[in-house]
Amino acid sequence: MLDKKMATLAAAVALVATGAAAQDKTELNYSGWINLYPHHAAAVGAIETGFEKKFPDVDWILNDVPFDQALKQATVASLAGNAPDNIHLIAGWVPALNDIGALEPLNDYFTAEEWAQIPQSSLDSVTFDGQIMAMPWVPGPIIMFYNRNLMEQAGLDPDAPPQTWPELLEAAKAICALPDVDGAPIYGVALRTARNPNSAQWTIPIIYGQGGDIVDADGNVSFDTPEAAAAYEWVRELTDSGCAPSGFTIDETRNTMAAGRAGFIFEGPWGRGLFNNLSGGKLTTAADGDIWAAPMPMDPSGKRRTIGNPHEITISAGSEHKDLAAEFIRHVIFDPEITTAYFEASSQLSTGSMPLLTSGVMGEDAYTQVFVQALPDTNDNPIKSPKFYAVMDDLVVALQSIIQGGDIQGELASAQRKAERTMSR
Amino acid sequence: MGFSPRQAPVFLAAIFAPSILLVGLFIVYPVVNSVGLAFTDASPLSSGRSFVGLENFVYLLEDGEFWEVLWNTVFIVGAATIIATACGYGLATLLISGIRAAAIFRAAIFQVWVVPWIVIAILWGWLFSQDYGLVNYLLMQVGLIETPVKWMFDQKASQWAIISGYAWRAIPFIMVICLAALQGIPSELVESAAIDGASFLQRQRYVILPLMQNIIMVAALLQAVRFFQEMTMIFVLTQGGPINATMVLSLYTYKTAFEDWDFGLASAIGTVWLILLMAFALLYVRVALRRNLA
Amino acid sequence: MNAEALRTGSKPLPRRRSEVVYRLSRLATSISLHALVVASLAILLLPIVWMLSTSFKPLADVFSYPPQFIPRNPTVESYTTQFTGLLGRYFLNSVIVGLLSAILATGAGALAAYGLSRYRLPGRNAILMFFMASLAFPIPLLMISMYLMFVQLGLLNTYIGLVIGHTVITLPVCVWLLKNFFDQLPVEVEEAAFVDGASRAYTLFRIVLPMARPALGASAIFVFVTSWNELLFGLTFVSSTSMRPLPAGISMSFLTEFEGAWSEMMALSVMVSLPIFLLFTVFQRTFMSGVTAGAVKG
Repeated sequence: MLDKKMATLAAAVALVATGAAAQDKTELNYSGWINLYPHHAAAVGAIETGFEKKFPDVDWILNDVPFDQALKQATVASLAGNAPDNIHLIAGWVPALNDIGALEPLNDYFTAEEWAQIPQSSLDSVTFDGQIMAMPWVPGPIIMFYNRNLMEQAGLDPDAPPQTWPELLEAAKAICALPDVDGAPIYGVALRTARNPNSAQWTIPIIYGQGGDIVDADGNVSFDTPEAAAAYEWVRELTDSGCAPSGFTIDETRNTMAAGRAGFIFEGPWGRGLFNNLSGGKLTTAADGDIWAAPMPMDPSGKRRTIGNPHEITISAGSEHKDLAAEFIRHVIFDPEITTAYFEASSQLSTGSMPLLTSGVMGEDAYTQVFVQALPDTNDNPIKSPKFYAVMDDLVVALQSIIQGGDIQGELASAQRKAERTMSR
Repeated sequence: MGFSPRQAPVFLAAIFAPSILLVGLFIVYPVVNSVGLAFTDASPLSSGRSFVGLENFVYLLEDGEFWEVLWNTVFIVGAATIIATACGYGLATLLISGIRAAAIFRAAIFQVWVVPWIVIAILWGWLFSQDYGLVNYLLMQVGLIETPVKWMFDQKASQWAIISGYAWRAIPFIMVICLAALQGIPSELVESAAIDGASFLQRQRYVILPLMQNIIMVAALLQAVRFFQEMTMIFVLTQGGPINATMVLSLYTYKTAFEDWDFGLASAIGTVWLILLMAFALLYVRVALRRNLA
Repeated sequence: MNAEALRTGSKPLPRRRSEVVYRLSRLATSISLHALVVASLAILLLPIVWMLSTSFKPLADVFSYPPQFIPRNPTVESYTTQFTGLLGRYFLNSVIVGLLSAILATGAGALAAYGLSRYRLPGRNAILMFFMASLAFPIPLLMISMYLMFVQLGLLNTYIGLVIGHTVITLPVCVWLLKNFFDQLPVEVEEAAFVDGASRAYTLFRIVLPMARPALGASAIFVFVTSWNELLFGLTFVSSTSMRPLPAGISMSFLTEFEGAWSEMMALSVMVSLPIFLLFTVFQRTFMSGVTAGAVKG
């Protein structure tokens, strides 16, 4: 009979559904995007086996969350009361999660010696009322990567990357004048301009490059400035001349750079691993290789300033295994074996600890040192507010409108109005 | 016809209990509760919640963005529905015109309706890719365009990319319904029109379409309702961009609620949506009634 | 056949002279009609063909110019790389949620539909109208309050939460579809059963529902497919990887990982479509009759 079959089926389904929950080991949940890049797989394996060796009774569980969705998912999980024990974040999201009480203060979980290894500026950006809410993980200065081959083809010196923003514009135009390859154009700058808050975030260094800022002297959001207008004019000149793609997502810009079809891209320490792997090993990132990294161009007064997008690792306030979660942080930040494994697999700086960044394999790595040197010029929290990303979401609409020919002043003023409302709610 | 409910009150209560429970708890209550939230500043990010009167609605109606989103929704849903209906009806007419292997064609076309939305989203990203996409390649081969279209960045182009995906997915549904209805038209009617010398178009205009119009309207309306709710493709492909070109009501409400965590404002958007819907339904019923009377 | 009439008009006794002309024009019409159908089919199926074709190419050939419609170096590599535990888990989650939703929505829907079809209830039309209208209720509006409820009830990140969500968005269609079916079943069978002393419950479960099997099947397939497609609940009401259904899981885990790797994305797409494709191929007749009967009547 039909209903008997249905009942059997229901029973079977129920069995499968509950069976998955039975476990006898302690589960420690991590959520983040560490596993979403194939070339990180070896590092993830090392982290997991290393940790489960130190703590044999623990089952370390990885929850994949793409970078784009990480803030939202962390918020959803925290509100639902089932947040993972360790949450992988970037500095810009820490205020938002701290604001809803999702994070555990870390001060007492680590020793004074351990804290001393982390640069004070990195700690400041995640400290609220003296409480450190996150452990700085991968340092995040955003700097300028450039394709040395394309520089050479365009008649530029690959050992002398542009030093000012007008120079960068000239170089970008020279490179994008190169002929198409396989029916696809060569871009000057692979600039991300998709409808995503981080597209707007990535224009902040350009505003810095005009000598401007996105907050005024009182710390209030301020987009409607001559420097911001100049920065967006700079962007529009690139897109209008076809020297920057229009509407590309983060991944599209990276693929373009890795395909050897862009002269410049602004990226953090993760750039090398991405380009080497996305190009299928065809391009290498090295001082004498195909792609190399240089500091951001200077502003008119000769000052260099950029944003940071450092990775952070946190403990959720709702975690039932906070000490264990702290051990996991200790494992990935301070264990040289793990930081080396992560560094070697991902080719990126793998810890917030200065002693580890400046010694061993990372200390000898010229690439790592480019970033270490950029750290003092790096601002990890351009707006230290829970609404940072929400405000960037207001700004990205202006960015897209401007690229499509909108009035710069008007669009920035409109973004300013929206941002003020966002901040006030 | 039918049995009297008085004969079996317990039985009736029992068979209605599950749906009353489900509908009451998870449709009626949430809608009523959300409409109530529209008058507050509710947010899961803060524990308190205070009554703010019409503030959310005032903000919404004053904000240009909302009207833009409303127009985008009507445009995208409307265009997709019209295209899908026209193509679906055209295909049904073709398939019933006595061609060979009509059943095989029908089955083949129906495969389109089977493709999950998440797959359409991924597939459209590939088809409409700016540099390597098949659509740009074919359009350039045919000579319709000279340079690749930036499908995901140009505002009009991105709307049409989305519309094409919606319409594509819905054509088989409309086709199947039209086919069933066309098969139900008595052949004598059409034959006698043909004997009277009516051309193909005249037969459509004076015989077939008048019989079909109600069914076509119902099918189109059902499809439009589904389009209003659907947002997988937009969520995956454009996130409402470029600028706000593909921001539709469903995604706008969803993002306001679950990205900005502004439940008050999101509820207000949903409430306005509900009101517009009821107004439309009222209008539709009235027009349909008048037509039936006439 | 009306189809014949549509195309040719009526020519009962064509004279010899015009017979050739008539045959020729008939042939021309037939050829152009077939050409038109084949062309429409080609355009409609092009995306699917392109998906299949891309999925069997090595990545290097994916970007070749001009594009290859038939892979020159076919490979199944993109399929084999996908068989990770994670994708299997997403499939399992979707199957569980889909089956439970199908059972719940079809079950509850069938009972209510039977009552609405057979009993002279006051406000029967109003109830049916409400069900119809509820299809159009803004789902995000429902989700806001459901989210707050589920937090209270502890239903976030559970199958039950997803099943409830998927059930309530499909229940109205089930009720309509099944009510239309019951309306067509002759009531005499039940009356005879009552005369024989059968209880109402017995009659419903042992006599009516077994007869309604095709409609129940169509309704269950509809719910399952809707559940298979649903992204928002999966995205919002679930926060751990192991609980995600397919669409949410894919958008979370694979879109970033395979960005630009179109052969793998297409292989993934084919695999996600396949179960639904099989379901429809096996039950096509059932489903078509259910859907068309419901819609044409409604």
